Amino acid sequence: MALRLASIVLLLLGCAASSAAAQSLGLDPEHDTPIWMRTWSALGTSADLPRRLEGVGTATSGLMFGPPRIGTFWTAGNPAGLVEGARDTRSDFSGTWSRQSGNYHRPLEPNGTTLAQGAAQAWKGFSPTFAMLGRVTFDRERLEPGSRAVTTEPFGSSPFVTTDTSGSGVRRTRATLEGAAGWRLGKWGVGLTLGYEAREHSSTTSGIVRKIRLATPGGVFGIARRLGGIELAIHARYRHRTEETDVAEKYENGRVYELVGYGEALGIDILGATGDYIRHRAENASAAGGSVAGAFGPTRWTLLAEATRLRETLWRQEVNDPPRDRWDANGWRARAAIQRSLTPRWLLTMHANAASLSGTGDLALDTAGIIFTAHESAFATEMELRLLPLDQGWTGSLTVGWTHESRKRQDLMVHLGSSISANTPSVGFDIGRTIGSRLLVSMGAALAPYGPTSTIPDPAAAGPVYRYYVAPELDLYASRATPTAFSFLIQYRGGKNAVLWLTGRGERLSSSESVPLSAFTPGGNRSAASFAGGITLR
Amino acid sequence: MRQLRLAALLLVTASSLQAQGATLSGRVLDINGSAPLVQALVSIEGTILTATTDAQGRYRLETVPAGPQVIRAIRIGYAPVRRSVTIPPSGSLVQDIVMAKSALSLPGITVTADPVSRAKGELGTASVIEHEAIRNQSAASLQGLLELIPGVPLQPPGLDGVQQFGLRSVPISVGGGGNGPGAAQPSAGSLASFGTQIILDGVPISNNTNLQSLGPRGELSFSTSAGGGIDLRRLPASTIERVEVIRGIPSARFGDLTQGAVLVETRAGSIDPEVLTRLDARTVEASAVGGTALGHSNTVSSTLDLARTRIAPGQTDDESSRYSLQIAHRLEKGRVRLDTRFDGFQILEDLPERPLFPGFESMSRDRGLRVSERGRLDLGTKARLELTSAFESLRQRSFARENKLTGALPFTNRLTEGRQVGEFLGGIYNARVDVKGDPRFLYNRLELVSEPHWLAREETFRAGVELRREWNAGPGYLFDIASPAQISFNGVNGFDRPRRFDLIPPIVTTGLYVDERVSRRVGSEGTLSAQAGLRLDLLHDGRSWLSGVRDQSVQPRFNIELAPKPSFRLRVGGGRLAKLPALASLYPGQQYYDLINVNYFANNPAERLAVLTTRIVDKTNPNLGYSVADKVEAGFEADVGHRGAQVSFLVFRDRIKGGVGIQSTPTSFLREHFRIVDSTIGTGRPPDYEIPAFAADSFPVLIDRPDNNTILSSSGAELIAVIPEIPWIRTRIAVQGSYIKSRLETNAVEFRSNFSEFQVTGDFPRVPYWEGATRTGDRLLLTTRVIHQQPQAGLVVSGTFQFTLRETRQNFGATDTLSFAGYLTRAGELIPVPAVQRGAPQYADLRLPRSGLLSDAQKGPVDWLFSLQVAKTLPAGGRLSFYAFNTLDRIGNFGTRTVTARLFAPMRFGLELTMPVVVWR
Repeated sequence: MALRLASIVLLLLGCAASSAAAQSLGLDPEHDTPIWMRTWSALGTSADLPRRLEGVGTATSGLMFGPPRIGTFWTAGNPAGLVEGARDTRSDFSGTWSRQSGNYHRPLEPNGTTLAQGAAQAWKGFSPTFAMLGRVTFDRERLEPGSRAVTTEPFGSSPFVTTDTSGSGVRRTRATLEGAAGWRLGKWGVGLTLGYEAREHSSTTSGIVRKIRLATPGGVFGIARRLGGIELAIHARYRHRTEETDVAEKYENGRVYELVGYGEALGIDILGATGDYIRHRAENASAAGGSVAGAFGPTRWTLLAEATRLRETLWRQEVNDPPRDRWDANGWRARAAIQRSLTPRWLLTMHANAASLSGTGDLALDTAGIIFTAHESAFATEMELRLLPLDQGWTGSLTVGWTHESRKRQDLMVHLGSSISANTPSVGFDIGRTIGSRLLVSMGAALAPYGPTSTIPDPAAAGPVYRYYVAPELDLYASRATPTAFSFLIQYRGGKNAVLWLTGRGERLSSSESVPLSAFTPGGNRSAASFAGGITLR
Repeated sequence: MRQLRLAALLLVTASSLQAQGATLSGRVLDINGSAPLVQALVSIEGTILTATTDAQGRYRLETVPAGPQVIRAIRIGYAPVRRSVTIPPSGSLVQDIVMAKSALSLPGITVTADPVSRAKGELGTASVIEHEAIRNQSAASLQGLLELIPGVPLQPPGLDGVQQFGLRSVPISVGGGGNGPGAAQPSAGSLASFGTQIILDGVPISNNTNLQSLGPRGELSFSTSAGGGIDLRRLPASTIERVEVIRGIPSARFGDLTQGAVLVETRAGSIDPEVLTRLDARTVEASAVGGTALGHSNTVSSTLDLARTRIAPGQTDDESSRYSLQIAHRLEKGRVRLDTRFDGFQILEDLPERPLFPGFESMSRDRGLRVSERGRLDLGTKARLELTSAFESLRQRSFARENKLTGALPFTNRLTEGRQVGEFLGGIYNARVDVKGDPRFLYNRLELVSEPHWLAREETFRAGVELRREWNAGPGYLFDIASPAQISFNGVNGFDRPRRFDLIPPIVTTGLYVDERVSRRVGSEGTLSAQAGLRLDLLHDGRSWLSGVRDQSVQPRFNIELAPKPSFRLRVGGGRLAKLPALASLYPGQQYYDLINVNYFANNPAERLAVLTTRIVDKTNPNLGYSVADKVEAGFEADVGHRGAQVSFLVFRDRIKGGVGIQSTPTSFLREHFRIVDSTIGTGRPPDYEIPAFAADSFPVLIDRPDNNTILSSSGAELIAVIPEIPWIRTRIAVQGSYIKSRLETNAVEFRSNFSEFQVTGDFPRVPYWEGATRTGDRLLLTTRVIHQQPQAGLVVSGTFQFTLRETRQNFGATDTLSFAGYLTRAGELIPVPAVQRGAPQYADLRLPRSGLLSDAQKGPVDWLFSLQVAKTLPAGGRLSFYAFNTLDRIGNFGTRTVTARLFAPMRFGLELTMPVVVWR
């Protein structure tokens, strides 16, 4: 029994909501993953604010994973706090299937994708001084033809994006392995989180061959010290990422565009005679910061602040020390969490996250110096009021939130820039009822109206590459939209420590603009559905 | 004879020593709660000592040989356990053994090859890979497991291409090139893999009669393992219980090898059934194993493996797939033990037509079925008789199809010498060749094993006879003569004709051997162990073992281990090994030369005329025989510190003489030219030609005959250090360093690549030739495995760093214009030119730069590779492994080379899930 409960990384089934998001394009299943389940990962980015399609999550997953957890580990992501954060034992295994489709998307993503994933996650406090946590996922995603991106993550803050004209279908395979261990040595705590992610993309239906591989190791090291009723902690995180892109002729000629900001990229023809187009990307993301956690009476709180830094280089020549394009970004991140029990059954939790970065881009083979700058920031806050479940009766939660994003990006070569800021209030609820002593049924819904204010380049004055690859995305972020989501959960307690569960969610996104901003604005809508089932062992 | 005398001397020396033994006892306990385990089988590896635990979990073994020994405990439902102990010369030793359902829950699990263990019954240097190490290796086939021994580069798991393994050799640059003379010379890799014997469940696997080759011209190609070692893809790692790699000197029991032996034991007996699935971006694999006892005397088990690898997903539809099925039965009754095995497999490599290259495709498929029986009859307590018989039948099918373009080419399909009117082939056509081989292998061995106490109390004597018969019963090498696969005439290999394989005589051999192993105490705590043997191999020249002898090889071998104290062992070994030539070398078949007498190509096909004279040369070399390897090695092993660190170091030198290469023998044919008598343009018929010939010239050719003319020398050093678990970080480190230098010399002549121009045009009266170059390569590899274990969590993390500290390839042979050795005349004579005369004016036409020789050393920069595996027990007794080969997707250090996209194989990652099947019983 002890071994069973001690599982750190487990069966080829998985924790659906927690990790399906990281790879999937468009509407993001990660919206339904509680914030505290994501912060500890060593694979998270630093000084990067990836652009996502507008979305909203319900709180259904909160009923699966229990009340939100806060603290040095769960809020600050510092493994030195794992012993306090994971005194219990839990193992989750599940499988997920999800599908999204629709015309309302960016040009670098396809109309439809289908994802199947297996994953497992577990943690255990082995003793009062030692705890471990682990997660493993394996997923396959099939991208329908239409995607123009020839890179694994085309929506980061970096302006360097590789695209091609093939729009081939892609089969993506991804595996991640993450683990954390924490030790408590008297008043001191020390912890280490390690993570590794590997991806392989290969085209499926095209006359142009795309092959992309991505390897990402990462680690977090932290130290904590108790001082009276509070815990001070410092940590450092590092993530390295290496990506190799290979585009080759199969039976059609094609063209690759190395997009750099808002300029008109020159095409690189892909012909069998000239060999493959190969590009490498290396990324070093690091962060260092401190956190403090404590309690004021029944109120527990945690604060985090850290400096972030990202260094990205890209090159093509197969030689040692080739000339490299560079993207350098520096920023900061802050996070706060407060939790208070209002009554034995009502629990109030508030999270706030803020991040900011400034980045500069430099082309290797020109003498212009910095050719692109970006100043981006995001602030998100969320408050959840939860009615904790009993063996019988009602349970549920109400969540309200607000997100503000600001992105100012300037191409110094063509003197074009964009400025988009957006406010997104959100509200969601989840309500469930325990039937008998074993069955729990719940449902939830949420919406988050997205309201941007923007200044973007006039696509009519730009070239065809810009109009095709860039303008639709800027138009999409400059358009009002309202994502809505619905979800359900069925849980069955099979034994003393085992819970079987099945969950599903649907999400829909469409523009709220009565008139498209331009001829390049995406139309229609986009919808997503996912189903997951699994077992939780305690 | 010197070796014989030495062996005899060793035996006599050993006889003056005395053997001792002790009593080993203890209890076998469950790791959870320390409950006694009843019916656990405890044995001493390499001996016949076994005991079964009683109701209190107790076992007792008497007269256990003194010195370092390995206790092995197995029990149904539990992971096998191996423990190293040092047995005192006398008295008793108590050793409890803890077993767990899953080995990952045991502290100190072995996930690397054991560097100081020995193959069963062998004293030669060996690496032993136990089942737990196999489970931690994430390998698709045996090749992936062999990465655990020193000097083997890491490779991605999968079935991507032919997998051959050669012990103690490194790549060197190859000789010749293209279709020119010397193209058929073997590489060091193929010689090494051909000489590495793979033995599956006590029976060798032979590749001697694999004829799936398109020959040296190779204008079409398909995947094949012909000419080298067996394709290891047929042996799934998931069904292997144990691998013993005899890197040093194998005992005289082993024949038909020059490098070493890899002994593979598949999972059989009473095994808790389990299924394994493996999934990564390219490979899908599923396998199942299970076995059960049937009554008190019988056990039956079965393994099944299905795997598929997409070779280049997205780019092509090429894929390799495998199925493998084994059924094993063991009967143990009284003094008799019978092991029966059925092995079936299929390896398919399919490269279908690609849209970009229509008309091009190839396929290779090997199917096989092997039945083997190993019988053991105990003759009292100190002797036994072992009989091994096996029959293997393979069905190999390969084809390649390509578009060919040729000008007007006269050809004939004549199969006898003489002249006839031929036809013309021209333009673009789709050539297809099928190679259908059906290798058969009959193997028998009768061996007497006894413990005679002639020389010592611990003594094992073996004497045996080994009978092999190998042949190929396939339809052969087939193609439509109207669309031949080979169209570029180079004058060396002529043109091909279809050939039946079932008409080729078999290889029939007899092996006789004796082997003696003794162990005696030296001083108060020292031990001297020696193993010496003599083997006689006979290659018959007929179809049966009663036929005459075509070649023979006498092979003395010895290994000595002196342990002044149990923790330190000095080792030395030496001997001779011999390898059969391949069937393709023994009977290379006939070569057809079609000499063109008339070549009249009119616009109207009906008016064309080609007259050709076919000459046939038999390339068989009646003197071809065994290649012989002389091997010697010396080193030491030491247990360092009280926690059991182990260090092993040895140096070795192997020299394979008479490796089968190609000897180009020049000769010349008379080519007659006939005059056209009349013009038939517009008549719709070909013209007549006039006999006798109006002219004739000599047409030089080279007959490429297989010959024992190649010497492959390898020397180097191996260092293995195993640092025991560092308790506070629960981490062990195993380091394997290997430096190997290989040198390939061929006693043959070489020509420039324009040799065919010399033959066909007649513009040159002579061409220069060069003597064979020496091709070398060396590599220094350092492989470090870091194994971290969390027994509480059932977690094992192993990371492998492989550093290539040095890798060079270089050829030695002069390349200047005065380096030619002589010249070949149109009459087919090789005329040597003394070095002092090569600058003379009459040799000006011969002073040409030599081509195809890598004169500057090719040196790779220092580089490293990292692979990771994390394994975890699962709640129901299963296990999940995450693996990532080339974890960081390193490209490799390019140095000054800029033409290769990658130097290292790309990252490969995935999951393996093993789950027990609880419904079996």
